[in-house]
Amino acid sequence: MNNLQIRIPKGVGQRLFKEVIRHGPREPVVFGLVTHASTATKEIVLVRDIRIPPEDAYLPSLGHGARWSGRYMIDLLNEATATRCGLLIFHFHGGSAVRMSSDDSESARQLLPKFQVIVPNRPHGSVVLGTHSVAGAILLPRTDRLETAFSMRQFDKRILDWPMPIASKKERQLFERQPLVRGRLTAAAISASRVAVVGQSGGGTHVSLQLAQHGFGEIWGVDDDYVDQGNRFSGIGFGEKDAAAGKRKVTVLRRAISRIAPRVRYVGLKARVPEQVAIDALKQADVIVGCVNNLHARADLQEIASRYCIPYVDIGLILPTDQASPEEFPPVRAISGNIFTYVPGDVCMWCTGFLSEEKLAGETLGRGRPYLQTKHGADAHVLSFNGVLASQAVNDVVNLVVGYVGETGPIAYRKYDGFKGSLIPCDVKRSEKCMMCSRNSAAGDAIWGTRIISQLSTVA
Amino acid sequence: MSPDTISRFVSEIQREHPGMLYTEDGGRILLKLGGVEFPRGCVPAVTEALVVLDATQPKPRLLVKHKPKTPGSVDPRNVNPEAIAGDSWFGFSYNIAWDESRHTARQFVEGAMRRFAKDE
Repeated sequence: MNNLQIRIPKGVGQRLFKEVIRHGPREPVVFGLVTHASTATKEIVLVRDIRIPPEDAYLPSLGHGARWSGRYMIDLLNEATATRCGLLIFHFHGGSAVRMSSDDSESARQLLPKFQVIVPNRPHGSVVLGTHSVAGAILLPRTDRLETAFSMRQFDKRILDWPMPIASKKERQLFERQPLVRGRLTAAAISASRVAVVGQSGGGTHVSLQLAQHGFGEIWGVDDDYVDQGNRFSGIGFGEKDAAAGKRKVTVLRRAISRIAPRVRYVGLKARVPEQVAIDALKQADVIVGCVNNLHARADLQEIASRYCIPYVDIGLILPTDQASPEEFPPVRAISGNIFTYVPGDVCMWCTGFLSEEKLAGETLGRGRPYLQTKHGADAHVLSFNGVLASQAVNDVVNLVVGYVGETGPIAYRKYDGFKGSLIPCDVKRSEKCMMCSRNSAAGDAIWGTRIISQLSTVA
Repeated sequence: MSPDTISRFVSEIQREHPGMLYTEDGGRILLKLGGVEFPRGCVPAVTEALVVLDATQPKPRLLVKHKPKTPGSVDPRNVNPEAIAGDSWFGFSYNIAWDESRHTARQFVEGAMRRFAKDE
């Protein structure tokens, strides 16, 4: 596995592929406006949006390769400068082991350093796509070396990684048609995945243990809390002695996972989102599962997932009562839960109103809330209800990695009714007006500079 | 905040903090300031600070990189980490008087930092 990856959100990737495979008088090209992010283990190039050159931007060409006008290039570079984005040039050759042609390589050597002079703080590149493979050259900020070893990740019905592992036709067929069978490609996809589970209590214990049993390569549990006699009944794996000894939740889970799945690496982070150590860890995840008890943490996780193109599965459970009731023990009105599965580029929690500024403002600064909404905030027997939600969350993680659902892809939002025992899919769609999608989608790391670049520069 | 106020604010901050770092993040302007002093007696004495300027909000926000101990060695209440542009900062609520037609950026930063002078 190399340590440079291009990520393309859902929707953007579909438009890109539709254009580059289009038959025409020449090889179509597509330009990607990109940001980037650095993690401890990886450099990530994030495609924020694409630009498809209009027909009149192309110049006559002697060969099959595309040439475009200087005017179009200047317009693109102006847009890249204004949006603080780098430029990737995509085109398609097809085949399972695609390579840059000598013309492609020469053109990259000439163009990319020029792009870098204009937008020095973002990566630039030339990428050729194959059917199951990718090749090209990427010039990262502050370097003059063209990186040719990289992978590409596209978000569609599942996480699609290029290059795909080398496999026989039979192995590929098995993976495509029966991905839940423990074939070589399924096992490879699962064992190569790192899942961060935020919250290692009620839902989080189920999620971590199930992921370990599935054989996910790495599980990073994020929780700074300790097991006690109250919280040990909301999830599984916490014993009476753990509570008596006041052990950390992540310590107990690491021990349990090392026993049931010794090949799985469990990293326990004694932290809370959004502390810096937690953010730095989450940026390195392939999938994030949020098992948190407040909206502020969800908003933070949603932002990290959007900025760095990481799928995010969120679960939550609550037992509401009539809090205005004068009775000491008002009846529980419902056992309500949710599972929200965010795929980068698709509908987010802000699009649907699941998160809103009003809801965040209404949440007390004390943040976390108990499962049972009573004056006493008493502990409740919620272990098995959490188990239902957590199991479906793990299903969604497995689906993101191997794609067992097929044509429809992941369901974004399900409501859980614990009285009926039902999980009801809700029809939610990405809102084109969502300010958070517009702000955060594939935004990557912020680029800090001393120069003021917006319209303010004329005033300031 | 009006765009004019935001422009004035950025100019003033830049004069006060020549090493200020600037970025734009989805319509917001973020200013990173080094060496911002906590009130006397706080530990640490200085921190990095982040100013968020958002035209949809009535006033700027100030966040700090470190959560200090107040002069009476108290862990200040309601100072919580927030993720902003992929980094963690400590946000706090402080009812600072802000009149964008009258107050300067310097008054805003100093006024917000005074929250940590209180042992609560």
